[in-house]
Amino acid sequence: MTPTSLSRADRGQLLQAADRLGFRPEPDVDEHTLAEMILLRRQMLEDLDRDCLVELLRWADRPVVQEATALEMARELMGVRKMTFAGLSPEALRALAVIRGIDLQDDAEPRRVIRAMKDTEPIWDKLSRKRRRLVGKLLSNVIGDVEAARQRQSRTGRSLKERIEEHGVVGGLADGLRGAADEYIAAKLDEIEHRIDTKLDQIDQRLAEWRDREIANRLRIIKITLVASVIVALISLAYAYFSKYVLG
Amino acid sequence: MHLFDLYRRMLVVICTVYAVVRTIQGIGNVARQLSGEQPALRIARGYALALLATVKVHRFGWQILQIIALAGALATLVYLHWRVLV
Repeated sequence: MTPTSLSRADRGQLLQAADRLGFRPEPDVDEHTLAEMILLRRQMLEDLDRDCLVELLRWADRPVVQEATALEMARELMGVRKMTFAGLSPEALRALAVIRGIDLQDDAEPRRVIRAMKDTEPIWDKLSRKRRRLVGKLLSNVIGDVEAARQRQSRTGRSLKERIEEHGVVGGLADGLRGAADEYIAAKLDEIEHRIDTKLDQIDQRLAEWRDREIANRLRIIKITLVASVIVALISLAYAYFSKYVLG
Repeated sequence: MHLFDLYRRMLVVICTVYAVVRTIQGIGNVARQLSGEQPALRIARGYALALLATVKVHRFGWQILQIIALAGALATLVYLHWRVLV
């Protein structure tokens, strides 16, 4: 939305624009102030460092589209409620805090940023996350070694417990099932490729045997022809010798 | 010229011509079947050449030796014919 369109928008449209940018203004804010807040928020998101946003998208297992703008990447990250920040750089943590609408100084320490994000997490979200973590822990104990083996081979390396904590029971199990289905298909494709290779080797071997038989047949024909020629030549020589030297 | 000489010479000519014609026909048939620019025919040509190039000659060594010996014997007999008749 441009400044001109914002100045003409009604309160409902402004609130929708604010929601799309991931912040909720106070109810008593007038339209003019709301439009300024929207522009400011939009500018803040567009000024975020692209490398930090890419790092955050990878941390959140979201797709990284190289042509996306900083604002589009920030919008993608607005729906991420993940509260484990292991592996994130201090700059990425600050960018995430900005996306989540937390005001901090530019040089805030990572611990302060993480504390601020945890403090601003709604209580209901916190309870849901802890509940999902508990369910994830119970289910991962039930599923056990199979899941541990699959995690060692998985691309993301996240456990079932972590996936359930982040996406809920159905989402976490679906993610695991999808991965198991991918592995099954990959194994079947390998098996099919192996069978095709074996069949091609058999065909190659049969053609080589056919070639050898044909060459052996041709050589036998040549040999028989030569034997017959030698026999006829012997008879002819004997006849020529006999007619010249015996009969005169 | 004796009748047998005539028969001998005609036999040589006829057999040689027959063998040459049949050989050329066989090679021509194979070349015609494998000619063409379709990808399948290009692959078939390449594979046929690869099959020929991977022949293990030592498997036919004894037969080849026999053929060489018989060809030598035939050449000797032809030479002796020439010596006897000349």
